[in-house]
Amino acid sequence: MTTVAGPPRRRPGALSLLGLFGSTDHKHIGLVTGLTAFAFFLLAGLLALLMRTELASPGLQVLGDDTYNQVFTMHGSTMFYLFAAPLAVAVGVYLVPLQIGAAEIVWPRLALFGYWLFLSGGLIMYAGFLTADGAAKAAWTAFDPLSDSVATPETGMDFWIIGVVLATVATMIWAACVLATIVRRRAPGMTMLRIPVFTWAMLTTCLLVLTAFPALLVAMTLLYIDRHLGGVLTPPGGPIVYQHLFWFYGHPVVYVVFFPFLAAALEAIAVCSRKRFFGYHAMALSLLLFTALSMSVWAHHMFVTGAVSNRYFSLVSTALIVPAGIEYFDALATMWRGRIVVRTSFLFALGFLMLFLIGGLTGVLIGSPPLNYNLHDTYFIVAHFHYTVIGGTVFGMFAGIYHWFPKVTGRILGEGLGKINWLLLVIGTLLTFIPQFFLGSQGMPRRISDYPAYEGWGGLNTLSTIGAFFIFAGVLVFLVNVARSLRLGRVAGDDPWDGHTLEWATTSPPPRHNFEALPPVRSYAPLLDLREERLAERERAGAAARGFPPSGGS
Amino acid sequence: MLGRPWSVFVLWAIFLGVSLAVLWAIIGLGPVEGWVPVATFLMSIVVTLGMAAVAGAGAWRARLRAGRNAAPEAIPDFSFPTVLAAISLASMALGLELGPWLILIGAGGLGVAIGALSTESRATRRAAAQASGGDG
Repeated sequence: MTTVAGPPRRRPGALSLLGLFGSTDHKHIGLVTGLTAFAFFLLAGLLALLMRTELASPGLQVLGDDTYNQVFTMHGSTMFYLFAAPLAVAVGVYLVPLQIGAAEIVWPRLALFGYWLFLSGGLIMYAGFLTADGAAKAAWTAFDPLSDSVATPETGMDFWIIGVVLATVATMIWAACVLATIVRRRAPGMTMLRIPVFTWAMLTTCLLVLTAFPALLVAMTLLYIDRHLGGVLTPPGGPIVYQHLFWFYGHPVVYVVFFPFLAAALEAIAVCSRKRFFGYHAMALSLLLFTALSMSVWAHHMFVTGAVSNRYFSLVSTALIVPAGIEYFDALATMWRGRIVVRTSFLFALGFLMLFLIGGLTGVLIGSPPLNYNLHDTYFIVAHFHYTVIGGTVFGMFAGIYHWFPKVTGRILGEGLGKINWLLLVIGTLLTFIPQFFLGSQGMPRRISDYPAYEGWGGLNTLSTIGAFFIFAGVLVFLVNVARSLRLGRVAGDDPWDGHTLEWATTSPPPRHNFEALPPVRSYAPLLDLREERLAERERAGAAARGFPPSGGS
Repeated sequence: MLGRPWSVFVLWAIFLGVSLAVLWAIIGLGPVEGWVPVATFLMSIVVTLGMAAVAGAGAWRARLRAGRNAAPEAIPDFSFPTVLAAISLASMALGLELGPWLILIGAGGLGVAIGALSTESRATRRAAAQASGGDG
C-alpha cells in the first residue's frame, strides 16, 4: 500500500494566471477552455432562470417582450456556440493526448490561438447587450428573413454573427488538433482498435465538427453579406437554402455535444463497475454509424417547410435508434454482473442514460412527419431537446467532472455534496421539462414571453419554473463542492479509481510532458491488463506455494 | 478493417456515401430540395476522403522514415505572439462593425504577432538543434 503526501500549496508545475492563458500545454488550454465554457454555461443558466421566471404565471412582466427575445436568443446561442460544443472538444484537448500516451497535442500554438478566438467570439456576442438596441433577438438559429436587415436591423445581430463565426472557427481548430493527435501521436502498440472508448468518441466528434461546421460558416457569411449588401438570401429559395446550411450544422452539433459526454459516462460506468468495457468493437463501429446517420438527418427540422423529402429524412431519423440501441446495450452489459461502486460519477452516468432515453424516444416521435407537423415550434420540442442536451451533455459532463477531477486537480470531489448535486439536478430536470411535454401537446408555442390565463397553462408553467430553480440549486451545490474540495478534498494520488486507461498511469495533475514512462499497450484498457496480469501472477505464486499445479495454462 | 486511421475515415465516407445514395434515389435532383442536400453531403464526403488521403500519406511517410532518428520537436511553453495574433484577428472581425480604425489596429497587431511568431519559431528550432547536438 502506498501513502500519498498532500500536494504542496503551489505545485512545481503550477502557473500564474497570465501564464495559464498563454500556455501551449494542451492541459492548460483544455482547462482554461473548459472553465471559460463553464462560465458561459452559468451565464446561460441565469438567462434561463429569467425566462422561466417570466413564464411562471400568465401576465407576469419581469422582462419586456424585446428583452425576452434577446434573452432566449442568447441563452440558446450561449449553450450551443459558447458552452456545449467548445466544452465537448476542449475535454478532448485535455484528455486525448493523455489517453493515447502522447507527450503533447499536435499544433499546440494553433490550439492556443483557438482559445483566444473562442473567448473573443463570446465577448463580442455578449457585447451586443451594450449596443443601443440590445443583443441579437432572432433565436440561436437566426433564420432568414427573421434575421435579415429589415426584421432585425440592430448592430447586436451583426455582433452575434461575428461571435458565432469566431467561436465556430475555434471549435474547428481544436477538432483538427485533436484528430491529428489521434492519427499521429498514439503510443507504441496503440493501434486504432486499442484507443479508449472516449478517444473513439472524440475521433467521431472531430469528424463531425470538421465536416458539418463549415456549413455554418457559409450560412453566417451569406447572412452577413445579405444584411449588408442584400440579394443573397432572397425569397423564396434563399430562406430554404439558409435553413439547409444551418441545419446541416445544427443537427450534427447535437451529436458533437453528445458523443464525448456519452463516452465520459461510459468510462465512469466501466470503472465503477470494475469490469472491462463490454462490446468495444461494436461500440467503435456504432459510433461511426451513429455519426454518419447524424450527418444525414438535418432536414427533419424542416418538415413543415414542405421543401424536403419527408420519406428520406424520416427514415434516417428513425434509423438512429439502431446505433443508439447498441450503445445502451453496451452500457448495460458493462454493468451486468459488475462489482459496482456507486460513486457520484456513476450516478450521473445512470442519470445520463435515463434522461437521454426520454429525449431520444421523443425524438423518434417527432421524426415522424405527421406528429412533427402538429408539434413543430411547441414546447414539446423544447422539452425533447432539453432532455437530449441536459441528459446527454450536462449529466455526461458532470459524470466526467466527478470522474476526472482528481486527475486534473489532484483532489477528489466530495461524494456527499456530489450526491446532493445529482439528486437536485435529477429532480430539477424532471420537474422542469416533463410539464413542457404536456404544454407542447396542448399547443403552447415556444419563444413567447407571455400567454393568456384562459389557456390553463399556468399550473404546468409554475411547476416548470420551480424545477428550473432546483437545477440552479444543484449547480450551486456543485460550485460549493468544487471550492471545498480544492481546499479540503481528499488527495487523489495517481489512480484513485483503479482506472483502465493511460491517463491514470501518470501523476495527478500530470507533468508538462504527461508521462515519465508508459506501460505496455495490449488493449484499450492497458492499466486493467496490468492489474489482471499481476493478479494472475499472484494467484500462480500462491498456488505454487500451496503445492498446486498452475491452472489454466493453456 | 479499422486498424489504420485512414481506413476509419474511408469507412465513414462509405457510410455517408450510402446515405447519400439513398437520399438521391428517393428525391432525385429537384429544383431546390435536390441540389443543396446533395451538394452539402457530397462536400462532407470529399472532405472526409481528403482527411483519409492526408492520414494515409502521413502513415506512408512515417514508414519511409522508420528507423531514422527523428529530430526532437521543441515547443515553447508559452506563446504570447499567438495570443496577440488571435486577438488581432478578432479585432479585425469586430472592425467590420465598429469601423476601419479597428481593422487597422488589428492588422498592425497581426503583423507584430507574425513577426514575433517567426522569431519564436527560429528560437525553438535553434533549441531543438542544440538539444539534438547535445544528445548526439
